[in-house]
Amino acid sequence: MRDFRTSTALARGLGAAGNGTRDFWHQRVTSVLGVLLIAGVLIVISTSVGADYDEVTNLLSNPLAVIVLLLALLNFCIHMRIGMQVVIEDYVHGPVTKALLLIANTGFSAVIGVAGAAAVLKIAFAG
Amino acid sequence: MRSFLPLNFGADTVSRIAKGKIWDTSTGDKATRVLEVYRYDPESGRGPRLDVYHIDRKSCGPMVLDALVKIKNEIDPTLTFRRSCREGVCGSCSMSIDGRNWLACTQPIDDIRGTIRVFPLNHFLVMKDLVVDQSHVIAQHRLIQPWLKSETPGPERERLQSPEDRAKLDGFYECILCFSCTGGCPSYWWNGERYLGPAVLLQAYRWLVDSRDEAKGERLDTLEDPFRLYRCHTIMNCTKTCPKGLEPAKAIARIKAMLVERQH
Repeated sequence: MRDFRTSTALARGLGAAGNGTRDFWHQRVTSVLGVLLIAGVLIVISTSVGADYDEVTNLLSNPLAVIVLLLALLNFCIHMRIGMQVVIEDYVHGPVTKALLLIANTGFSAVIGVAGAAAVLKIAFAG
Repeated sequence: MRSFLPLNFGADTVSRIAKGKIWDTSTGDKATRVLEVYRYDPESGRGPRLDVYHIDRKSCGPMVLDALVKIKNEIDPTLTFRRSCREGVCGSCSMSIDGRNWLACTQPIDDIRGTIRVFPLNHFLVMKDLVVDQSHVIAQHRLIQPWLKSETPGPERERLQSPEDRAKLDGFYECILCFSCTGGCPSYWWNGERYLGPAVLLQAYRWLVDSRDEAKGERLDTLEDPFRLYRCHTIMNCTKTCPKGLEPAKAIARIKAMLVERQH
């Protein structure tokens, strides 16, 4: 089918969505916080090098370690979700495929985040 | 600058570039330069081809545009390309030269080693040979309303601006709309229908930063969109390929900073 729309109609499209800034800002915020949180995670991991199972579970039940690990999970799941969304928007142009992938992306990030949090909490509270 | 990929890698069948005619006008002189030029005529029913021309450098001007004009005048009058000012101010002769989008009139022949490969500006649909269809990007430029907007009645004489505010336009007002940057932007290749591209966004910033303009909010409203603005991923090809030495990537980053600023 030949497209008779004018250049102006094509350039205007559906208009400006009026968003995008929030995701842009959150991506930067989680990048900066991620640097600090990775440092925290590395401290937790390096402290447990060479330790036996009981010592590690003991360390991971320390409230500070639990907070650092949970914050890192939350931070990087948000970061990952926005990053993957950008990749999908960049390269996937079929509307149905794009919608399904965006839903899958949110679901995947949520599952990773909740599963990770459940693991941390289980070790913290049940050993 | 040679690509490591074969010429037709991933190209549609109709876009695959065949070997073209060799216009052997070589005199065997050391000063002879060889140009491979993309040729395509949609009315011919054939796909594109790469013609080879030999130019006597001694009787040719210093720039690639001089070589193209020489080819058109003396060897092959069917070669089609845009040109006008021949001194880097009109933006007509932007094309892909030796793997980089640039103005043919400001690209010295002697700066290129070996065969000089000339293609149309990347990404745009080819109308004929080196002439591309820029109607969409021109419409996108119109979308950002590139003119001074003010509700306050104008003064009898000029609208005043301090030297400091005027200096904020430096590096942004000089854009000649050659679209070398837009054609070189991978984000524009994937999403050019919706993404405005570096040239248009640089122009948008030029008006956003103009102290005489009263429509900053409206202008930011027009740009605040995941596709119109936020497809820019700071790839920086735009800055690398600007023949005027401007930095569209910096302008885009500043627009994003303005949008963040008005949220907090």
